[in-house]
Amino acid sequence: MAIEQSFLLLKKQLAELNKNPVEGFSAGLLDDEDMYKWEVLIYGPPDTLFEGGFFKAHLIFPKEYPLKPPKMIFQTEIFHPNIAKDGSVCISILHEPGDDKYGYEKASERWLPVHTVETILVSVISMLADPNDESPANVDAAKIWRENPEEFKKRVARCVRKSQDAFE
Amino acid sequence: MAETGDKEKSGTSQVKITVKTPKEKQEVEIDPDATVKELKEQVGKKFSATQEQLCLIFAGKILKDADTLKQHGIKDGLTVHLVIKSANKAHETSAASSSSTSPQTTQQPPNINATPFGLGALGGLPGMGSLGMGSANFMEMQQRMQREVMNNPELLRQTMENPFVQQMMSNPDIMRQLMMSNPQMRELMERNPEITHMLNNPELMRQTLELARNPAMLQELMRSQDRAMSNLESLPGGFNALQRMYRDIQEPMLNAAQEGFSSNPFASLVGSGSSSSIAAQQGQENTEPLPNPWAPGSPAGTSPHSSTTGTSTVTSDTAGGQFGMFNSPGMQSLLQQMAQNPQLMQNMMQAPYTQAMMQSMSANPELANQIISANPLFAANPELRQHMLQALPQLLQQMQNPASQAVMTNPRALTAITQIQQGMQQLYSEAPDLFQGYNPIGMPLIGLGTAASSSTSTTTTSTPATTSSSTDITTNTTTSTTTTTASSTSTTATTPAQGQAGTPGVDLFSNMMAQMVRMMAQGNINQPPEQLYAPQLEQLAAMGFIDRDANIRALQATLGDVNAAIDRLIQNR
Repeated sequence: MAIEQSFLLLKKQLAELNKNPVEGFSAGLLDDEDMYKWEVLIYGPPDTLFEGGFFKAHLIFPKEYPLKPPKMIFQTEIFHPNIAKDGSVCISILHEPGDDKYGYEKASERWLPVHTVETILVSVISMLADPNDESPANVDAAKIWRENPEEFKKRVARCVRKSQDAFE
Repeated sequence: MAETGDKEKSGTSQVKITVKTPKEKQEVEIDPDATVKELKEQVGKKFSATQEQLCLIFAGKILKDADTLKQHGIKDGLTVHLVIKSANKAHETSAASSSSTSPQTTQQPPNINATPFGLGALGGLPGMGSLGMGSANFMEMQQRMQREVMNNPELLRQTMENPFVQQMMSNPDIMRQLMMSNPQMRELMERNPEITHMLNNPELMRQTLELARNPAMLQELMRSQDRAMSNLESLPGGFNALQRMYRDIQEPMLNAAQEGFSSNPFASLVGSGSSSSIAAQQGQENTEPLPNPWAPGSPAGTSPHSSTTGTSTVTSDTAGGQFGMFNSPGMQSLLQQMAQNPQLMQNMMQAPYTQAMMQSMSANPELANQIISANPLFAANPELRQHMLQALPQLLQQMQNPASQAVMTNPRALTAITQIQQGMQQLYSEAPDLFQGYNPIGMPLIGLGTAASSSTSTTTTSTPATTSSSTDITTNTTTSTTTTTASSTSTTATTPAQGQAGTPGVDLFSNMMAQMVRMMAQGNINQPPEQLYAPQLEQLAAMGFIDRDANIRALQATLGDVNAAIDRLIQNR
């Protein structure tokens, strides 16, 4: 039953997102046959360092969705304190509710079954604009962000340019 | 739906696709078998953009020109995202953040913005940048002046006690504006929202101002804070907390301050104060008596600036009176540099602000009168005021006269004037009585020199205050205090010059400067709150706060910060 439920839920979300898209990203399936692998394209939020960039990411849902969170992995290179170098996104709402391996997050900040693709991406987009210093996934980026904002700006601008070139 | 029916009958009928940008939404009708290129043509017309600028996104993919709509499964009623690229997007993005944060300083070379408390604070006075203060040479002069006054805490104290400064500091509105217009401060606030919040807290601001207004209290606070901090270190875990605080708050601030300014007074503190001495103390209670930084033989670590040498300079300064200051090497070099740098003078004279001010003053004697009577110094001295009023139009005319402006921009003429001045000074010190009522063209220039130099110099005096507070002090308070003093002094530094100088020329010019700064500072404060906070009010109304009066009150209390106003409104409910 759980498998059925997750499939239907994802299908419904996809249809809804195609009909009434949400600001800042566009979502579709990576492979039309597989409802559990999504491809999203985030465009850099305006008035942030990431403005103008196109960032592709994959969302991989477990069969247990929505009881367990999906994984989100950026395919485009992106320089951000909360995005690891391999592209995986470190954000509290994508952490499973059970284990508190990081030891600082409140249960309410972690994954909840009420989260949808939309809420995840809205969180990620806001994270782009406003990095979370407490749990850096890319330590270099966090260090530069904190200590050398000019350099951080430069590195991000490079990513943005690269991401634009990739689609031209 | 008739349209769907049509489509089934003939393959040529159109589908409706919604195209959406972050700002607007348009519907495009197109053949379902069309390619993306054809769709782009349509979209380009609707959004009046070239095809190269368009980027269509559907289902997480960027649509390529050669693809067809069918390939992507784009059907009737679906929405396609559109991003319109501007030609030099990447460039714009990198420039946007810097230019948006400091619009009025963009005309200055970047290294000037980086001067920590000096020009940053000066540039903080809106319009000061356009006065030609942005030239690199000015930086040099300023640094020289800074060093001069670094050794003179007395001067800072005098400035702080000046009624004009106090009056200004008691107005949180002005202070906030000054701080907000300092690009450095703004950058800091952007990076540290806590500080922004602090600035939006009128109560805290008032306390800080109170503190800044009472130098003795400030000194005492710094002293006790030092001790409190060092005791905190000896608590278990306290050192870590301090270190964290230092890293999270102080370091970004210092970094902001340090950029492009190698002779930063903090540099030594960061090195020695925080690491070695603090670490040495870790784990043991501090029972030593509080070191007295004012004692002649105090350890260098507690008071990096030697106030003892400062006082001796003060005494000689006051003994020499007004010209003691002129004869000081810093002042001389300033005058010399001004003489050597006609560009600076020219910039200053041609700045639209200066011109507009002069015009308005000469066209409106009432205004001038008002300004003069508003100045506490003149209010107390009707005779002086009368004198001022008579001399003012003359001076203004003189300043506006192209001939005199030409003189000011001519280096040789300036050198000559400097020489005349030096002669005058000598004459004045030898025979003061002779000097009464004598108003040569050189004097306004001196006044200018005094005003410019004393404003820059006092700016720096605030730096030792921070220095003595050492690394440990709650940096929030320090910064605001520093900026407070720094920015305010430039307004008022003119007044001490007035007080010392009995010569009308100096009075005239410094008064003019004072008025100018007042005009700049009060620019929009005199507006009614509804007008001043109109955009914020609209925002609040849109959020559902319908009580306009309450909104205005909240905005007034929070000095126009919408977020803080919302907090307040919610709390009051």
